[in-house]
Amino acid sequence: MIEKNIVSSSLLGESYYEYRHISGLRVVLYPMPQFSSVYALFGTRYGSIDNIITDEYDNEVEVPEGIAHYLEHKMFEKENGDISAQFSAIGAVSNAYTSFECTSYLFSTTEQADEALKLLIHLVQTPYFTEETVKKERGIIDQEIRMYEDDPNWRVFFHMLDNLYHSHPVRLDVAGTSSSIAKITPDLLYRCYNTYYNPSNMVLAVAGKMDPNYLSEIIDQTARCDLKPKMPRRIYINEPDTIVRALSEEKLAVSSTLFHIGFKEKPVAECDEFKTQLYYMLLNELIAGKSSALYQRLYEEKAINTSFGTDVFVGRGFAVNIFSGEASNPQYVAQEILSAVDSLQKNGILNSDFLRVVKALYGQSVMMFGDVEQTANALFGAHLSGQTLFDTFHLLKNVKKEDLERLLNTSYRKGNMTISIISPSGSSHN
Amino acid sequence: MRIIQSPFFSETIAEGVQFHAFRDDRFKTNRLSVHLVVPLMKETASLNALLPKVLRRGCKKYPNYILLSRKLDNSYGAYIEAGAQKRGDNQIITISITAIDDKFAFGEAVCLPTAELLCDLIFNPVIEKNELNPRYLEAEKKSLCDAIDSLLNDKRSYALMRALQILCKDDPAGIPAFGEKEEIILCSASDLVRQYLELIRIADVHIMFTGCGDYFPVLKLFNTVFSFQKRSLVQTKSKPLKGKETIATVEEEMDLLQAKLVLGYTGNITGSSAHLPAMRIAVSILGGTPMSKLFMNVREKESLCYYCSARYDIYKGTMLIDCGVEPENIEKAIESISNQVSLLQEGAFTDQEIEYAVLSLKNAYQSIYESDVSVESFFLNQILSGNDSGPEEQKALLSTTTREDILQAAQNLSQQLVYLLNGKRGETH
Repeated sequence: MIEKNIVSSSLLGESYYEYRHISGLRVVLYPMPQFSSVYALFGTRYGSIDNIITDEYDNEVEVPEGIAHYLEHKMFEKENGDISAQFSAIGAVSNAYTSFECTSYLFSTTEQADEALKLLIHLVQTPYFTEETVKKERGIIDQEIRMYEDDPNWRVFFHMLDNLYHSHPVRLDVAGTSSSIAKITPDLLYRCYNTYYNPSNMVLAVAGKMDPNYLSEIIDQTARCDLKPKMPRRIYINEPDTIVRALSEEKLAVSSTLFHIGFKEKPVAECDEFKTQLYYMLLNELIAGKSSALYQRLYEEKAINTSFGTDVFVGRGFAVNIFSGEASNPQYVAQEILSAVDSLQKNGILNSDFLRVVKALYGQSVMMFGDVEQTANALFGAHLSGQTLFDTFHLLKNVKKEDLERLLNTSYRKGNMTISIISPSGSSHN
Repeated sequence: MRIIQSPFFSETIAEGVQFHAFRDDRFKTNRLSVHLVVPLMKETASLNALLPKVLRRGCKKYPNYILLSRKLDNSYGAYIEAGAQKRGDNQIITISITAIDDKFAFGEAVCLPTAELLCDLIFNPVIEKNELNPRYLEAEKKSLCDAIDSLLNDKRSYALMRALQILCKDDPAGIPAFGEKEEIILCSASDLVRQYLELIRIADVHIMFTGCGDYFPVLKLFNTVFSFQKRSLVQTKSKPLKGKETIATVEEEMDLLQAKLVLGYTGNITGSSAHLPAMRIAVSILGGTPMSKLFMNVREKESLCYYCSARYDIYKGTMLIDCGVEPENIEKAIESISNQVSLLQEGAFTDQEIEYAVLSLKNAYQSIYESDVSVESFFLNQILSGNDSGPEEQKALLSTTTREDILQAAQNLSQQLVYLLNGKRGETH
């Protein structure tokens, strides 16, 4: 049996196991003996931004937008029908998600976790696509796309990305469009599968009530070992530093004006993504978090409401700081954010403010470990990007005020800011 | 009111005031919620919805929100949730605080101080010249109106909410949980003080502690607080919705691509009924899992929609089925859904379908203790619907339910409403 690494946190008094399976698959097992459920994710570094594959001669071939998501839907269908049925038959719940950079399949159960794990591995490692089944899915995904087109929160986010990125595929809808998905064939699905679902490009993470040795045995018995480890070749995306446009506005059936203010930041190397994300979270808190002077003033002026929040969106070849919410005058909010940034850059960060936001983020990071699902998700995410789950604590312990100031001084530039607005179309409603 | 047995600790600390605690090592946090339960009424719905939002902004000790927010940051990112919701014919006003337990803090207490903070927010608000937190009133009125407006943005929930309002239009359950915007705008700071004092006097109060910490000091704290209050308790019991002979059809329009369809039914079986497990299984067979009749047929076989499911309300004894569908397929979807309901009521379901439904429900019951929010929500539902059993008992009842019980429960379902939120976007473009 392969030696397992133990990753521990003295702070939490907890530890988990991590190892590379003989197939190349990264396996992480986090026993949470006080709980009664198990939550597992099996996924790959393959998402909507990977819209180019290489053929057998290593030529780059563009594939239809939305294919990673389509593939995710089709993985559930096997020769003997929908595999969801088999999860249901043992009382487990299965699901899957496709994001910009990853596709993950999951189950949650309180019974027969071993059987559910076998099913999960089968689900992910046994592709089965035919002309007929691929065609049938089109109607369902079309309705999913339509649903997103009517979702203003989704639209306002994608318009922001479209305003910021010239050529990076992050600006494209995860599910694609009605016309792009019509071009998807079984052959294309198999080619994407073979490119991106190699075990060496994947992570299997399980958290909850378990015997880790027993689960390892199940994985040894079930996981495919016949594929030669091969990492997909990542295509370099040529994206200028500039933004496309500083403002966009769409009218939809919304009650009040929604906005996303986005700052296009310098993308970072994969090994720095986690740290950069955390630093930006702290900076966003300092600039416009609930305990900032800016938030208080804008809220009391009624320029923002409780929907206001900040977010950090960092990945391969992209980095965006987001300030979003509802406002009658988003331009005013943007202007005030720029002045707050300016004043923070000039005067530096107060030490008491710095300590306060670090303390708050520490507490919020601890909270997550009281929930199996959140722990499993974070475990999966951390290892998919080559980190460990407890890196947050380590980073928060070592972060210096000066580190944040350095990042602050090169970020949140006015010239790299866009405002995406969704305003009411004036349609009548009751 | 009956008190639920262990592992839940319950104690009556004043007339109509109960303290409930669920201590478990699986949590890293302590969550403390104060629920004030009152009958939903047109006259008070808006004030009640506004109150928690105003209270959460400050108290005598932290008179403005920036001081309060900094206090929360310094309490290791503790957070407050405050708002009003509707359960059956009642409105529930809730303020909660969640914080990490003392053992994860760096040598300082967090549990009791955050409980004291919650107490201060509720019982020591800023009242000046008979006005409650006047600094925040206008911003919170706007914020609540915005929240009502933004219900429109999530089309699926909006359609479900409208369908429920129309279905229960003659009952308190038909009143919007946040009241009406016109009423909110008119609320004055002195109205709010009056309603605040009234709520503290009459509401059915449930204080719930869920976490890994020691709740006895918190219990003691609330004992002291309530020893000063004079109380006169209001009755809070929801009535099941009465069915009618005819099916109402209501269509509303919005600028949409995808139409939202909701079918409403009465089922006459509520939270404390012995037939509830059978009804739960029936609804799950129909539309509770990816193996359900609606999912397998309306979505998978006919590719009419991305989602199509059924849910049951234990307070009003009603079922809603909803789906998002292309406008030209609306008739087809109604027919397809009605067909599945008929099949259920004719007993056209296999033992395997029963088994899937039971397993899925068992899994749900077993998962209740996995999160503080679900523990709290489950037990509050049990308390309010007069059912004194825990998840274990509910789970056990599923196994003794027979096919005949399920069929009988299903035959109680009677269609009352077709609600359609239709798109008109195609016409204007």
